[in-house]
Amino acid sequence: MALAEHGCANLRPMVLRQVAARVAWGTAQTALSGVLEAAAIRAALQPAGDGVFDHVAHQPALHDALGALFRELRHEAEPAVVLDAITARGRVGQATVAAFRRYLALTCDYYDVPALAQLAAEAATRSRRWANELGALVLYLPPRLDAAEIALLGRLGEQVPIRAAFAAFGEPQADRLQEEKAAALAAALSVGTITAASVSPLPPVQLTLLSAPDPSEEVRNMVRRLATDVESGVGLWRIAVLYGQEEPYGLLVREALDAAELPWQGAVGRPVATGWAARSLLALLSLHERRFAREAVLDWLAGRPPRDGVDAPDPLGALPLSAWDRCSRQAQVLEGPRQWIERLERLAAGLERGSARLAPEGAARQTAEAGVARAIAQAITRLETDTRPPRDGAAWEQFVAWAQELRARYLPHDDQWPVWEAAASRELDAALASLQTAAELEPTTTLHVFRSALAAAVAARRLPQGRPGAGIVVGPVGAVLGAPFDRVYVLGLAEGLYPSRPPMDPLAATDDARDPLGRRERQREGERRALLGALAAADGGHATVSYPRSDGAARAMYPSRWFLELAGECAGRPVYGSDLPKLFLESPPWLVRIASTQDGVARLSTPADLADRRLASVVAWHRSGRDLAQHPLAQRAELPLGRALAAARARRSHAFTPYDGNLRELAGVSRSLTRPIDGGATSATAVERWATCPFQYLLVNVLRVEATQRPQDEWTINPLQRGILIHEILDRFFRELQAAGRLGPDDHFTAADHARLDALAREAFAELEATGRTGHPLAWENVRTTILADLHTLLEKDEEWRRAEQLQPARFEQPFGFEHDPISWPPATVPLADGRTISFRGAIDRVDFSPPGVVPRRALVIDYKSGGAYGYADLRQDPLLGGRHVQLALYGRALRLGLGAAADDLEVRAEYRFVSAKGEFVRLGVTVDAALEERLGQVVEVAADGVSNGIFLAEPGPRDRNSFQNCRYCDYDRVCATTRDELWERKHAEAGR
Amino acid sequence: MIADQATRERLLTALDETFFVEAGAGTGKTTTIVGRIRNLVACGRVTMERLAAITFTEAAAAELRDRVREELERAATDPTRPAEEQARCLQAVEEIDLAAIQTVHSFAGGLLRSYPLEAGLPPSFAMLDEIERAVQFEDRWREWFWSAGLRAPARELLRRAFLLGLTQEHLRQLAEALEQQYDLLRPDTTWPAPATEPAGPIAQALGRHLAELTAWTAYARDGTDDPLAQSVLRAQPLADRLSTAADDEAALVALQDLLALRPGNSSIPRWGKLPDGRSACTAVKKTLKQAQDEARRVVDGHRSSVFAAVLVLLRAFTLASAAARRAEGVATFHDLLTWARDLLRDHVDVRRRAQVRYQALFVDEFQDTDPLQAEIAFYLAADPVAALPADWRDIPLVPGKLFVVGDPKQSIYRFRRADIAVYDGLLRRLQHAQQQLVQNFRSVRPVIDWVNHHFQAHMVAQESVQPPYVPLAASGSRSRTARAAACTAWAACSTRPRRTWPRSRRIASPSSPGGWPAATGR
Repeated sequence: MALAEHGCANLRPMVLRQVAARVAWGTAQTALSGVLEAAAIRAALQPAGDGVFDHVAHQPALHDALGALFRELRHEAEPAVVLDAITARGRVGQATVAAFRRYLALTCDYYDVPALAQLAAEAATRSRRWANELGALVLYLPPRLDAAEIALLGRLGEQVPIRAAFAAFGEPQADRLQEEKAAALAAALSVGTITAASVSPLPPVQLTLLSAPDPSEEVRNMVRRLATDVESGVGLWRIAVLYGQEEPYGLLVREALDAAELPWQGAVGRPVATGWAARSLLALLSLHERRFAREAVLDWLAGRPPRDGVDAPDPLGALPLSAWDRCSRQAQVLEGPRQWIERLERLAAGLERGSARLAPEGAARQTAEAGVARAIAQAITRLETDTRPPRDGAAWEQFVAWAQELRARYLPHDDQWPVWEAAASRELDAALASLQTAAELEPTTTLHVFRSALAAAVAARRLPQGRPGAGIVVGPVGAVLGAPFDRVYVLGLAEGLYPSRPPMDPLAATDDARDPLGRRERQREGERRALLGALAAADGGHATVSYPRSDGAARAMYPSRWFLELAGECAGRPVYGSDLPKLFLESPPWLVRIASTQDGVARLSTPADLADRRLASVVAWHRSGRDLAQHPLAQRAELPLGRALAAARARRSHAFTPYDGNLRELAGVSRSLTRPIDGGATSATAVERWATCPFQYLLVNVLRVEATQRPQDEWTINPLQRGILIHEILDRFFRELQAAGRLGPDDHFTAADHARLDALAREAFAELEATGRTGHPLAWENVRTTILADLHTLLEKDEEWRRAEQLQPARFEQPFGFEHDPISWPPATVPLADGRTISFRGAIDRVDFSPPGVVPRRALVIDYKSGGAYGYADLRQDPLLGGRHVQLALYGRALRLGLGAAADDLEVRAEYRFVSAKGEFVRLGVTVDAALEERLGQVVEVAADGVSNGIFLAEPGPRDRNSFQNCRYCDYDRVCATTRDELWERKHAEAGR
Repeated sequence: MIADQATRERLLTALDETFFVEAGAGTGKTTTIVGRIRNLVACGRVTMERLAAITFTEAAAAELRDRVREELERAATDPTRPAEEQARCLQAVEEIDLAAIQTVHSFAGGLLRSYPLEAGLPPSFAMLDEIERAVQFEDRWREWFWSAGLRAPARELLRRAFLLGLTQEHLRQLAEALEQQYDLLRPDTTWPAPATEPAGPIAQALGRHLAELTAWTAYARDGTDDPLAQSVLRAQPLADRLSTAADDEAALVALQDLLALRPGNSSIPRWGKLPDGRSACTAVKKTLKQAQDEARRVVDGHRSSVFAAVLVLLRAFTLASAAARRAEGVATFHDLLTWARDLLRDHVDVRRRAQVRYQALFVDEFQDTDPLQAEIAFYLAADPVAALPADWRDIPLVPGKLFVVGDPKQSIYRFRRADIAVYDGLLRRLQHAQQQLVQNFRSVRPVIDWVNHHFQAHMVAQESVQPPYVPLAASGSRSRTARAAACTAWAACSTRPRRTWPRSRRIASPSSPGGWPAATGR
C-alpha cells in the first residue's frame, strides 16, 4: 500500500509467468503446451536405439519422468554442469542427456516457462512500453525463482519499483534456499540489504496435538471440532483443513465435509480426468482394445453420465444397466461384438420359443425379455461400428475427430449436470481439441498414444472446486502460505507420510544418491516451510495437528518427527516416540488421544452430522446403563437400529423368531409366501426343496433370489445343463424309433441305431456349443466323449432291461399340469387330509407300458438322472426320503390321472434311471400304490402346512466335510448364517421340524 | 552383572566385524542395533543415506527410526562426546529421512526405483496390493486358460489332464502356487515325470477279471440281493468298457471309473466256497481290490507324467505373467524382492553402485526372512572386488558391513516364505560371526526357566530344519510362588508329545491336487 501514495492502489494479482507473458507479448514463438511437450518427448525417444529406453519407450511413466526432469533442467542456470553429472551416471545418464538434447532441438521453436522469462527480459531491455502499464511490482512469497526469472526481475527493476516479500521462519532448514534466492534477487536488483520484518515462531498461540485410531477417525474428529468452531462463531472462510498427503486424506476430508453439509473450497483444483465426461470417454475409447469384454462394456455403462437434459435420443436406447447385466449373463456373453450379437439373438429366439407353452402372463414376460435382448444386440452392433478406431499410424486429427464424434454421440454435454461436472465436460472438449497440436511434432499416432495423451491432458487440467471465500479451505499443507486463518487443522503427520520420504530420481541421481538438481533438498525445505506456514497461518488463532495410529488397514503408524517436535515445544522438553504413552496418560491440555470410535463419539461436543448426532446419543444412552432397545432411535421403524437389535437378540435366543425364518405373521396375509405351493400348479422340486431346507425354499420359491454366476467362471458344463442335454438326445432318439414302429420289448438296437444316436448327440452338442454353455472347449471335448460313451452303454442296458421287463417305451417328455399345452395331462393333484388339494405340474421323461393284451397291465415311469446316485441310497427304506424325493410318487400319480379310467387296473412302478458311468447305470424304483400315495399325501401336507405357516428355518443337515450335507451344493451357502447348525439345534423343535 | 556384557560391548564397538547375532526375546536386540548405528554415525563411518536397516514390519521400521533419532539426538547433546561426533550425530538427525530404515519390500522397491531401467521397469512403477494382485492374476489366468490353453502345445496336454481328473480350479491353484514362488523358477525348470505304460492292455486284462467275477456271484447266498454281488453285477458295463477300450484314453477313463467303484459290503458266512476251497466272498473282494490297486498304479503313473508336463506349461505362464507385469510397470510384493534380487545379481554395475551407496546393513528378525531378503543383503554386503560365486551363500562379505539379528525360537512366518533352513545354513557358514545375546530383561526367572526347560527339549538341532536352542539367562530374584508356578507348568506340559518345529520349505513344489502325486522341481 505504500506504493499507492494517494488514494487506492490498482492491484492486480498475477503469477510471475503471466507478467512475463505480458512483457514478452508479440514474440514470434508459440508456447510449449503440455501436449507439445509430451509429443516432443515421445519423438525424442524414437530414434534412440541405445537399448536403454527401448523396452519402456511406450510407457507414459517414462514420459512423465523425462518431462519432469527436462523441465527442471530448463530451469537450471548452468545446465552443462548438471548434464555432466548425469552423464557420469553411466548408460542411463548418457541416454537421458542424449534424449534431452533431441528434445531441445525439437522444441527450439517454442517457448517454455524459462524461455518465456528470457524472452520477457530481452523485451524489457528493448522497450519501455510495458513499464507505464505495470507501474510497480510486488513479488509476494515467491515459491521458487530460477535464474531466468531473477534476470527478468532485474530488468524490470531497472524501470519500475519492485518490492519482494519472502517468508522466513527463523530456522536454517526451512529458510536456507529462500534466503539464497532472496540474496540473488537482491543482487539482480542491486539492493544492498534485505530487510527482515519478522519471523513466525513455533508454536502458534494455541496448539492442540491429536492422535486418532486411523485416518477416517482423524478426519471425523477434525470435522467435529470444526463444527464446534463454527458454532462458536468462527467464519467458514477463516478455517483451513490441510493434509500432507492427498491419499487418503483428500477424499476423506471432502466426503466428511459434504456429509456435514459444510461448504468448502479446494485450495488446488480437481483434475478434469476425475470428471464424469472424461472418465466415460476414456473408457469408451478402450472398448475395442478390451475386445468388448462383458465386464468392460458393463463398467463403461455403469460410469456413463446421465443425459436428462439432452434432447437427442440415446443411441443405445433407454435400457437399464440391470437389463444389460441380466441378458448378457443369461446369453453367456464373454467378449467380442460378434459373440454379443449372436448369443443375444439366440437368447431372444429361445425365449420366444419357450413362451409358446406358457400362460399369457408368463409368455408376455418372456417376449418382452426377448425384445430387450434384441435391443442390446442392436446397441452393440452400433457401438462396435462407432468405436472402431482409426488405424494405428493415422493422423492426430483423425483420432481427435473420432473421439469427438463418440463424445457427441454417446456422452453429450449436459447443462443439467452439477456445476463442476459441466465445467469439466467443457474442459474435456478443450483438451480433445488441443491434442491436434501434437501433429506439429508427431505427424501420426496410434490408439495407445492417443488415449495416453488424452488421459494426460485431462489429468493436467484442473478446475477449482467451491467458491473462493465461501467455505472452508481444503488442500495440501503448502497451499495456504501467507493466508490468515482463525483455525487451522493439519492432518496426517505420521512417520513416512509427512515429511514424505525423499525420492531418488532414477534418471538423474548420481552414484552417491545425490540429486544434481537439488530437488531432494528443495522438497525437504518445501515441506518444512509448508508446515511452518500452515501453523503461522493460525497465528493468533488455533491450530490442531494430528496423526493416525494405523492406516485403517491394520498397519500401525507412528507420529512423524515433526509431530514429536511440536509435542516437545508444547511440553517444554524433547519428546520422543517412546515418551508418548506416558504423555497420553498425563493428558496435558494440548494433547488429545482418541482411543477409539466410541471414545471419539463420547468426547464430541458438536456432532459432525446427523449420523454423528445419533451415534452420540446411542453411545451416551448405552454408557448410562440403559437398554438400547428403549432408545428413541430404536423405536423408529424407518431406522435399522431397532431391527438390528431385535435380530441380534432373537438369534441368540431359543425362540423360533422372524429372524430365523419364522414368517408365521405373514403367512395368513401374504400370497407371495404361499403361492409357490398352493397357488395353482406347483412342482415336485418345490416340495423337495422345502423338505430339504425351508430357508432355501424361501429364497428360491418365495423371494426368487437367483444365484448368479459370471459366464467366464463356468469352465465346464454345469450338471443341470448336462442333464438337459442328455434328456434332449434320448428324447429325440426314442421318438424317432417310436415313429418308425420300433421299441418293442425284444427290439434290438443295431449298429445303425448306435450311429443315429451318435448323429443326434452331435447335433445337440453343436446346438449347445452355440449357446456358449459348454465351458472350456477342452473340458467339453472330454465331457462329450463321456456322454457319448454313456449313451451307448445306456442303449445296451436299455435293450437288456426292456427285454427283461417286457415293456415298451410309449411316451417321452410327457407334460402334465400345463393347461396351455395341448398334449399335457391334467395336473397331478394330491388331496390332503384337511380337504385341501395341491396341484403339481412337470414333465415325465419316459413311460414304458407292457404290450397290448398282456396281463397284468404294467407301466413304468422313468426319470433319467445324469449324475451320481449319491443321496438316493436310502430310497429302498423310505421311497419318499422324508419328502426329499417325491418325484417318482408324483409322476406315478400324474400317470394315473393322465390315463384316467385306463389306469384302473394298471400296475405302476416308477424309477430313477441313472444314465451314466458315474451313476453306475443303477435303477432305483418304487411301486406306486395306494400306500405310497397315502404317504405322498402326508408328505405334501407337511410341506404345505410348513409353507402356509411360514416356517422357513434353515436346515443344514449333518456335517459333511467342511460344510453340511444340505449346504454342500447349495447356491445360497454364503448368505446363510454361519451358525446355522447351532440355530437349527436350538430352534428346530419349536419350528416343528 | 549382565551375563553377556562382553558380547554386547563387542557388538557396539567392533565396527569392522560382521555379526550374526542370535538374540532371544527381551534381550535388547533393538537397543544393540540402535547403539551400533549411533557409533557408526558418531565416528563418521556412515551417513544416513548410506545406512540400511531392514525390519520385518512397517511398525518395527517406524519404531526403529524413532529409536535411532532419539539416540542420535541424545548423542548430539552428549557433553562426553567430542564436538565432531556431536556434529555428525546432529547432521544425521536432520537427514534421518534419507536412511533406508524400512521393510524389505520397501527397501527392494527403493532399489528398483533407483535403477528402474536397468531392472527393465519404467521409472515409476505401480504397486499392486494383495487384492489387486489377485484380480490381475485372475484376469491373466482366465486369458491364458481360454486362449493360450486352446493352442498347441497346451491344448492336447490340458485335454489329457482334464481327462485324468484335473480341474480348472486345480490348474488355477497350481499356477497361483508357482506365482508365489516364481523366484525359484527358471525358463528351463522341469519336473521329473515317470515313464508311463500303455493303459489299454492293462484295462483289457482287468476288464476280463471283472467279467469273470460274474460267475462267482452265484456263491452269494442272498443272490443278487447281496450288496457285494450287486456291486459285481453293476460293474459289468464297466468290465465291458475296460475290455473293449479302443485306445489309451478310453482305457484311462474306464480305469478311473474302476477306481471310483465302491464295492458293497458282505461277509464270508453269506457266501459259499469256491471249488478250490477258498471263500468266494474273500476271493471277490481280493480280486476287486487287486484290480483297483492295479488301476491306481497305472492311472497315477499317467497323472504324474501329465502333472509334470502341466507344471512346465504353468511355469511358462508364470514367467510370462511376471514379464508382462514388468513391461506394464506394475509390481506385486513378491516381484519387488525377485526383481531386486535379479537386479543386484545380474547387473554388476548396479550392484557396485548399490554397494557403494549402502555402507552399513542391518537385518532384523532374520529368522523370518524371505530367502530373497538374505540373498539381497549378501549382494549388498559382498566384497566388490571378488567375483560372485555360483551360490550366493558363498559370497565373501566386506567385514563389518552386515549386522544380522534373529531368533530361531521365534520363526513363525513360514506361510510368508520364511525359511528356517536359510537361517540355519547361513548360521553355519558364518559361524565366525556368530554372537548370542542371552540376558533377558523382560521376564522373571520362573518364566525363563519354564521356557528353557520346554523349548530346549523340543527344539533339537537338526541341520536345515532346526538350529540349536540357545537358553535365555534370567535376571532378578526367584520368588517361591513363581518357582511353584513354574513347576506346575512343567508338570502339566512335560507329558505332551514332542513336535517338530519350523521346517524348511520345499523348493518349487506346489501341492498337488487331492489324489494326485506330488512333484518336485529340479
